[in-house]
Amino acid sequence: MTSRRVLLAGGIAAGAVVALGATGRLDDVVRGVGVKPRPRPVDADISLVRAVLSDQQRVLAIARGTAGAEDIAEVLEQHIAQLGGTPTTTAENGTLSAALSEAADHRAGDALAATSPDVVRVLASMAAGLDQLSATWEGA
Amino acid sequence: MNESEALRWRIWLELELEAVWLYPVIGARFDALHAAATAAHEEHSDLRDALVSVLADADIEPPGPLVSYEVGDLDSVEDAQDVAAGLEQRLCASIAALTGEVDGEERERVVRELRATAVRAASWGAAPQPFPGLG
Repeated sequence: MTSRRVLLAGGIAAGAVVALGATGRLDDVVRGVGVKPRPRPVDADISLVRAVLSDQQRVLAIARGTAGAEDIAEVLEQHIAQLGGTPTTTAENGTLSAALSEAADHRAGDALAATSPDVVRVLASMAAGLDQLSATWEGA
Repeated sequence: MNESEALRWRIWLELELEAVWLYPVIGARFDALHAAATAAHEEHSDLRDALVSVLADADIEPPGPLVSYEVGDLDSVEDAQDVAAGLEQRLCASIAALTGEVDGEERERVVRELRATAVRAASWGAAPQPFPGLG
């Protein structure tokens, strides 16, 4: 079974990918959280994770604008925080079930496009988490 | 298939074998869960067969089922739901680990199964997690 440490390493590794955009020192950041850096083209993953963050902020804003979706918003906040972002406090109108379902499909597609195994795992797991939220919300 | 990837596939298959054993037990004991257990059993049986093929195609001996599995208490519907949700969550962990090991159509298939397994875990009562299979 994957340990919590691996979760944190995977999540922080994804955050580190974002941080690279500012620092240009991915290997140092990744070493700092205990993940052995592997040679890989990271530029595409950096762009990918930035786009993911932006899309997740949009979904979170819709959740914040949806009555009764506080628990959903809490999980969405964790997605953003694990990717190294700051969860938005904005609320927007939108259909939450559609937003969650679309985001899950997009994260699955992102996982297929990612290069780093750590980023692949994080994005695939996010897709699964969004599916759980969608199923839970639709069943509520 | 390298050694690490083969290990991941084997771990996933071992858990599918456990699921194929578990759901008929749940379905037989609790009428209220019979339909859901039957559906889950069919899904896991299909996955078991698919995973056996993956390993066989790679000339790797697939693991076989145990006679029985130690899954904890199954004295009530709630117990059964907890056990089922727990097994689906362990499956999520095994599948999530594999996503980073494979590419192309194989990755697409593994990600699809991770998503389906996470939804199944929720259907058995697991609370939604931000990162199913990673913690």
